[in-house]
Amino acid sequence: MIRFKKNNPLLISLAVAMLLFFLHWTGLLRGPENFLTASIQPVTSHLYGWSISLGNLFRTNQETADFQNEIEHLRQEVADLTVANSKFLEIADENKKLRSALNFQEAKGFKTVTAGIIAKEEAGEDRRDLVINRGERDGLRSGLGVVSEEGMIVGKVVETKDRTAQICLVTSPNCRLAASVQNQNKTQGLTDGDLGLTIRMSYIPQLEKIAVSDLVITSGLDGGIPRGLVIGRVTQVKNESNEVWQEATIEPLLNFSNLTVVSVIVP
Amino acid sequence: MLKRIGQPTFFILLASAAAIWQWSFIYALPPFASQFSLVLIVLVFTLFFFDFRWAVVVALTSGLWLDLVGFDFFGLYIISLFLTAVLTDRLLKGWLTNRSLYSFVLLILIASLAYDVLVAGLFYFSSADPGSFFLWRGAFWAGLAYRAAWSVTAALVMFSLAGAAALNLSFWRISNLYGIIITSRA
Repeated sequence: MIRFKKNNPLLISLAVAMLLFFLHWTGLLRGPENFLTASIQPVTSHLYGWSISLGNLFRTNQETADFQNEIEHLRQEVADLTVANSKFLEIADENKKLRSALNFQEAKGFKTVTAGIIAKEEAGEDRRDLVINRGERDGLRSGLGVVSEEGMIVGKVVETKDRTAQICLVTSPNCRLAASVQNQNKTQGLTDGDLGLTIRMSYIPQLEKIAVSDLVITSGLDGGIPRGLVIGRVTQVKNESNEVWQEATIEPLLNFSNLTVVSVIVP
Repeated sequence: MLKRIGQPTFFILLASAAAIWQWSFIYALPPFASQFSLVLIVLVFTLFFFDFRWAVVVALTSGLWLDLVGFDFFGLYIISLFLTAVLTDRLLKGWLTNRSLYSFVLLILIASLAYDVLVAGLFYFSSADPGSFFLWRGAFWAGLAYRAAWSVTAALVMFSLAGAAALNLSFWRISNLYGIIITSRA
């Protein structure tokens, strides 16, 4: 006959674990779960901020010469962008007049919910997702776009809980976005993260002409992500004559390792 | 009465703090540092220097916190930490019985391996799109190597601190700690 020792810790802990699973899956634990996760959010926000600051101390410092070169390059880029911007302002003004003449409705800006990043989570092979302190209670759902303070796309919401949500970064594998290249043909394609470092744009027809330094933006064909959000710049184009599609490597313009605040685009 | 409330409270708070630090601070550090498994080290420390009962309390508490804040299936960390605690306890009682520094280091290494395999395995079989099998992934073994290195370092530091604490605080008997340190030095 099998005898169990009284107050056997193994049996007690098994019973406790089973009870926790039962309470969770039936939803009875939802209230206490939400209370616990809400109560630690201020703590986790601070801890995450400290972690980012500590991580920055370990990053490799570039030589002064490299900084100088980068400053010069950026000065030239600012000058070019200033010229381009003035042309765009003229075009925008003309567009406004024409829309008004044809009684077009004004394009509405999108609504956002600001969120703080409270953790990073391993979510699979070469993939580290971000966790934010907003969730279903704030109107979030799976598929919504997430942007940085500068307005560039960071990623999209993959999963939500009551008070938190998980975001995949655009550089993460399986974080796909419908994209468009800002070239003459407005080439369409699909972007996917590559090793957590860069972005790959695939399914580009062979006849499309894409150049290095072309800007890539969201095409708006994803349900919850509007058109025009900057994804990055093309750094390499893979064009094999025996392949059906072309591929482009895109470098994001954002440093994801320093992000602490993001905005989720809500409908 | 105070001990009855104080001891469980201490271990629950310790496990909760370890889980919260692990999730929001350690995981956000650069890749080599984010492999440090504070929760696992606290678990093995509790098992080695205290009792299996308290190790189970630590496993369930830490696992509950990690499951609550995480987005994997509920129970992944509870199951992984609980099974790691059971396996480590069996090793401690059946094989690594002399409670020396070397047994502590070996115990923590085996616990790291068991925990990593359990977490990666449960994640793999529960994901809709898990990618390649985790044992064939270089990243898994690289992560395991980092975690093992951190675990051994933590084990050496903790054992030294525990020894120093036992000698300096001779008026305080912290459960089995004093006896274990004296036994291991004999």
